[in-house]
Amino acid sequence: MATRIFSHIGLAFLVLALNATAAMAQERERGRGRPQPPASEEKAEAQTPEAKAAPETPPKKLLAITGGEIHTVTGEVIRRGTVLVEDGKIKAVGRDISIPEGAEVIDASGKVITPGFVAINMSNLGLRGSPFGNNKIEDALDPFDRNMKFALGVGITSGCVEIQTQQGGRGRRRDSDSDPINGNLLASNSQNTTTSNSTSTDATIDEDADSANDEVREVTITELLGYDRREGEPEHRFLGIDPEFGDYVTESQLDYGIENTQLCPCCGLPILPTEPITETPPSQEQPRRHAAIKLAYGNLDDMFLKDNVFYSPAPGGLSGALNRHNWRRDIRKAREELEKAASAANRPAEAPSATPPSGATGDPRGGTRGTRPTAGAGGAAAASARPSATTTQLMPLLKKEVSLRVTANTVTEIRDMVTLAEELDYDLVVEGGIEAWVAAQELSRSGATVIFTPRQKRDPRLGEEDTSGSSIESTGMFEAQGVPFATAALSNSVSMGGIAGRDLTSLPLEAAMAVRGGASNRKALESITIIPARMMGLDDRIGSIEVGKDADLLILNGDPLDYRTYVEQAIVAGKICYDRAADQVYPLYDRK
Amino acid sequence: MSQTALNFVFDKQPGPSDPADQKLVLKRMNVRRALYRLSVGILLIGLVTPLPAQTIAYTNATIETLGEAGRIENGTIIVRAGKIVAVGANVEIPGEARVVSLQGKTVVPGFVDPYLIYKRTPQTSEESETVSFGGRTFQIPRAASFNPGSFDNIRQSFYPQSFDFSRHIRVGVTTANLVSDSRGLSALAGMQTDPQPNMLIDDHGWLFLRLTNETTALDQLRNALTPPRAPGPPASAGTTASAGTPTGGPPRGAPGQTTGQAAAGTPPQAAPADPNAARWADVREGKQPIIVNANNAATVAHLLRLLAKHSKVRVLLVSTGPNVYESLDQIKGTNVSLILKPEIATQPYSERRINVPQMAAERKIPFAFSLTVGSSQLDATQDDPLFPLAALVKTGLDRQQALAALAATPAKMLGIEEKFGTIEAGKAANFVVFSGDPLASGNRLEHVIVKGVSIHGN
Repeated sequence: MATRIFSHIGLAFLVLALNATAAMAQERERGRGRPQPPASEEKAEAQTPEAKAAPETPPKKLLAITGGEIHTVTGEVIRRGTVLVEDGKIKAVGRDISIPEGAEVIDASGKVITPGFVAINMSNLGLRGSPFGNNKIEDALDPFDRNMKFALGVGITSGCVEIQTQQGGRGRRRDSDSDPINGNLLASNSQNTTTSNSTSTDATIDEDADSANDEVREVTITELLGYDRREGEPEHRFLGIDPEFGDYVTESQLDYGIENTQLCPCCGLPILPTEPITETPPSQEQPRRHAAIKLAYGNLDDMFLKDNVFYSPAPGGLSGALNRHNWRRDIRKAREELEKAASAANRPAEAPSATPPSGATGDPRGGTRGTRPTAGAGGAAAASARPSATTTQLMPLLKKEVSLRVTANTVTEIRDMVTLAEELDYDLVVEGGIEAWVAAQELSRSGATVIFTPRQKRDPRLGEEDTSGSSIESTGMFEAQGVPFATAALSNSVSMGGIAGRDLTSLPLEAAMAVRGGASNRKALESITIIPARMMGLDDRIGSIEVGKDADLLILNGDPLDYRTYVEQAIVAGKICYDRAADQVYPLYDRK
Repeated sequence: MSQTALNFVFDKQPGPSDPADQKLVLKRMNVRRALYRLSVGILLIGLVTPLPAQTIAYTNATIETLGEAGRIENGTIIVRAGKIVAVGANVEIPGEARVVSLQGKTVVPGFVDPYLIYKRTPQTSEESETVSFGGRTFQIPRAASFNPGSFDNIRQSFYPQSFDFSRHIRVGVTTANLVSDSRGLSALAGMQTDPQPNMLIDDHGWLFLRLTNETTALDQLRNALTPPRAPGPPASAGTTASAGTPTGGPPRGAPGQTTGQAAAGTPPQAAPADPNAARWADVREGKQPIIVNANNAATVAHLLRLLAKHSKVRVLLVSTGPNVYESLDQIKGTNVSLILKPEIATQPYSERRINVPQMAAERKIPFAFSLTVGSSQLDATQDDPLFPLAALVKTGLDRQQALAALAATPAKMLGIEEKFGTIEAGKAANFVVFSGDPLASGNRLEHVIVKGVSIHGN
């Protein structure tokens, strides 16, 4: 019993500290009462542009790129063709396209036109500050981030950024039900995290862990110390002065419990135990958060693409028996919730099209609405019993609106992930995939995709030389087996130091490495355009040159996968966001 | 009648400062009368009573009126009771006027500083906070995120003795809009040698806030600019902190988003009404400007995006050259005016120099200068405050616009152009006397004159 109380101490203390100032507590309240405003705001934002467009109808902005060799990616290569862009969207592609009057014309004769490249891994790009907690990614966008120019200079026009979810202190127990996606519980301050901790300590493998209550519990000093204050014992103590240090509650004791923490007899500093011995298992890690943005330099309106493009558990979040158990349980619960919502929505026969669990990929506009299932599916059911945060997060995964993106490099990990995905029925994206070439058949059969870096190297294990380690021929095997792959650069950020050719700006080079590994030029180009777009569920907007898609185009002075090729102009959403001559990011000499 | 010495006659306002440093040269008056006046002046200083209405004629000056009259050579300014009575080249000097010759000097209107940071809040974004519990203290880690700060009503908390205005006075600021570095309601102050609470002018005040590109920060403005759905009942004013909520009423039932003090969770109707609701309504209608300090280029972009939906709102954007120069084309034609520091800026990530005020002038974006933005600049340029401005003019900024941006433009932006900003009849007799062309190097600021009397002399 005492042990259990001690294990509460950390949370109890912090909970009490919360009560200390009213402001803090109110801040938390605010976090709770949050879900409404974003919805109404979205609505307002959605309405205004339409309302504006209707009465004014400004002249349509036309842009024609003529004479280039157009790599459409999803279709054929068109020689000496024209791409016609109207208001940021591709209006026509082909050879015999009449250019309307008033259109701006870019002569791209002798040049190569491709869709803008999509980086599946980006960081420190286009964002300013950390959009965690209450901060929405839309508000953290920085349209004047210089790094974008470097990325645009190699042809990256959009990509997937990982957003830092705020982590607590070392060894802190975190609540599996706090909800970073909607950002209402993890309200940027650690207070909220610690508040919800009060439930996570109780969250053993029991089935009721989901019934999260945010109640702040009063804790007495007796409860905190584990015994009644002895008579005559001073109420106030001063660290370093009072000799009985055993009675003090230090931070490490708060984390690990008093029994597990010893104080150094010489200096009084805590000796941290290597592993906390508690009767409760570590809580589930927070999933990582990914958002898709466009590198529309200087053009804030076009930068945001979509939030939560993946469901991405923390590394190692799906390995181990306990994690798997919890994962299966969570998925099962979410699926039950989904079915309940579907049947509830079917009864009033209000919107039957929205309910099938295996619905099509999200909203065509790619907004966040598609990823918020409570908004779309069965308002009545959602109102009667609000699904837990974890369940809410998992819904889009089960509806196959987003894929599960998980890091798996060894054959065993990859096979485990494939098995889980087949069992629980969701889309799988394997990140890393160093040994995926061994399991290419399984991957192909399950329909999984791989985020792969051809130059990543790992030595085979002793005795398993034929079935482990990296292989430069991976991409060739992927193509042969029909495993779609996206190419990621060796690093996900733009770096001005270090060894050249290893940072994000080497993305097209990395795709060329895929060709070296046996993939066709076409597949290699797909791996940095349409495949990552599909992974994020944005293939209706980016990743190829097709009528109706966003006009994210590159004008290259050579083959897209040639190391000598420069991007002459990068067009994002119909606007020239990078011009090699004007921006002077890359050298200006001409190729001989 | 020699012109070699500094030749001013100034009646000091009663106060602790001594008039000993001023040499008196008497002109055009008989000795008897002069002696009488002098004795009266000394008597008045002794009695600490206000001066009677007195007429002073400043003659032979080059006057940059910044008004319709433009630049007047050999002009005369007649001042009575702290106000300018007449300005011009051929103005008749009343008989009773004391005449002060400003031969060779240049007079410009007293500078109007639209953004004088009167109050700085201590940094609150500490890495950890100390919590006392059971008589012990603990350090609890805390995330550094945007803190909107408390609402500063400058007028209510005005305590001039706590602030050193002399540094601002000696660069020529005669009228200043006092703000804090967070958010609140500003107050307009007229400079005096001896700062007193009565230096606040009328009941002028404008809403101001600091903005970053964080959701909490942007929501402050978003909520405030969204008109409340239903007019809330005018409840009693809350505390200063919650009253300051810039949510003009609680439009979304989430007033707690903007202030730590507002009672979240209570229904919107029960929340205390914002005493500034009327001001916010005026801001939404564009009847009065709002002063926004945006601290980076991204925030400027977010602000402009927000304002695209609220085209009526007039914003005085306080920013730096590097932070706005890429947004100038977007600002063009909107209701946004700039408040800049007079300096040649460097283009971000580059060594290229940019003259942002000139770029703004080319796009016909109104801009004003705040001379008091950097305190180091205040100390470095005390008798040559316009040196950075001269550099801007040398590199292409129009001279008239540059001078206007110190006084006439900010006065117009704040809507106080009836009283301040130019040397014209009917306006306050605030002006700055330079030893020559204020934008030519080597010429120094000699006197700062407020309500017709010198409050600072070099």
